[in-house]
Amino acid sequence: MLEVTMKKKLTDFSVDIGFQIENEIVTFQGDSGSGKTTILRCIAGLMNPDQGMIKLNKTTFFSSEQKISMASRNRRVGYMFQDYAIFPHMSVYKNIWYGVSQKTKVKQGLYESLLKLLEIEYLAERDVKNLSGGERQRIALARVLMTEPEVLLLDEPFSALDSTLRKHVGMEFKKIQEIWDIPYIIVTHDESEAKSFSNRIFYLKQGHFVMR
Amino acid sequence: MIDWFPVFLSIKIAVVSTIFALIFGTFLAYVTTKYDFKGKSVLEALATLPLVLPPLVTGFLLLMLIGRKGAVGEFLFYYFDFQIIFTPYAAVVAGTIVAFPLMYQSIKTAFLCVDHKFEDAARTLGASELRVFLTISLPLSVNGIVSGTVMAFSRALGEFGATIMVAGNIAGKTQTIPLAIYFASEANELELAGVYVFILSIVIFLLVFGLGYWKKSANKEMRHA
Repeated sequence: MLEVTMKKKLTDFSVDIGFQIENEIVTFQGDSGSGKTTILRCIAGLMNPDQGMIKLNKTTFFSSEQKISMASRNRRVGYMFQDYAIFPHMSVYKNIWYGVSQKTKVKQGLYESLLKLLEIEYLAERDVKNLSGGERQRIALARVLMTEPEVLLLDEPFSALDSTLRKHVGMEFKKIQEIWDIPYIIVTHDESEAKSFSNRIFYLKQGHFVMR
Repeated sequence: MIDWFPVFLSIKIAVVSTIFALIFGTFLAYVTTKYDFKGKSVLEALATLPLVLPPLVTGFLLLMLIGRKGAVGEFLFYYFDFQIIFTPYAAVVAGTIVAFPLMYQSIKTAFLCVDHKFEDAARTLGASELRVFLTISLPLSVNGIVSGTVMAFSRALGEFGATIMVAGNIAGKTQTIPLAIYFASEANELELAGVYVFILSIVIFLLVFGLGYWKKSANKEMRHA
């Protein structure tokens, strides 16, 4: 279970939220600049809240009271960035393996099954040049899943995809969530996709959750 | 027949100076782009100073430091019985210092241009700060590092003012190409001076031309990415 209570002052407003997520898909929906990415960055340890507590199961990632702030690299938080952040100077293969410290047989098995699941076997030997938005996204997702994260954060995963692909990817997340049974947070500004595969939707406005 | 000694000495001194400038320049650029600390502006100004100070002034200040009576010079002489002044080592020190600002500025700009999302992505994938630097920041800054290296090398190769102050003009020991040009012209051996001028100009031209060519093809690669 992921538990978050946090306050963070931004330029125009403050993010002030609290939530708990079980092993489910939760969508944060809100206009751009409503604080969605700030929440994800705080969970991933790329930024610290001013105040609050972030806990995954029994591990405290952050606590202003106990003065705990775990380094991002130790959190095992899978974070797929908005434009995927595929490393431009590495091959597809190297990108996917970047987060793996030791190549074991188990990891090799995971790698093969991920390529199959995401239907990107044909990309394995490719350079990262000339990839489509959908291909980049799948590679980013494979790269994150190779680290076997304990929570998965997806920032605007649909923004670079056309509408048919969006629906397909939405179903895919559902499928992946059934295999990797961990908390998922998807951030999006588009309502229609979110509804089709989320267990819950939180609406975010100026850093606060609001009712629709 | 021309004396090739100044040519090889100049290249040797420029290579070693460039390596030092590369190491220190990368280190300082990393520190100043990543951390905020007291005295950072002073340090950055100091790092740029040799670029704008007349080389003779840089040389004079260096002389005060590594000369027999200077703090470093005295220390080396007292503890290691080693006199650095009027040796090729002094020319390396001068070369490193005048080349440093070009290297530092170029690498710093390159580090600042690296999109932080790549570094952040690496962190969330479990990479340590050292690994982030070695596998993400450094390779993505390669353009700036190569530019800085070429400019620093060219600058060190042509260094005159500071070098003559600390290394002197000892033929067969510390005489580099620029010094050979100056003293050949002084002695009215214009043909000899001309040959050295030609060699120096050709080497620097080829380096700068090569850099431009490499950048162009590297940019083409990036556009396809």
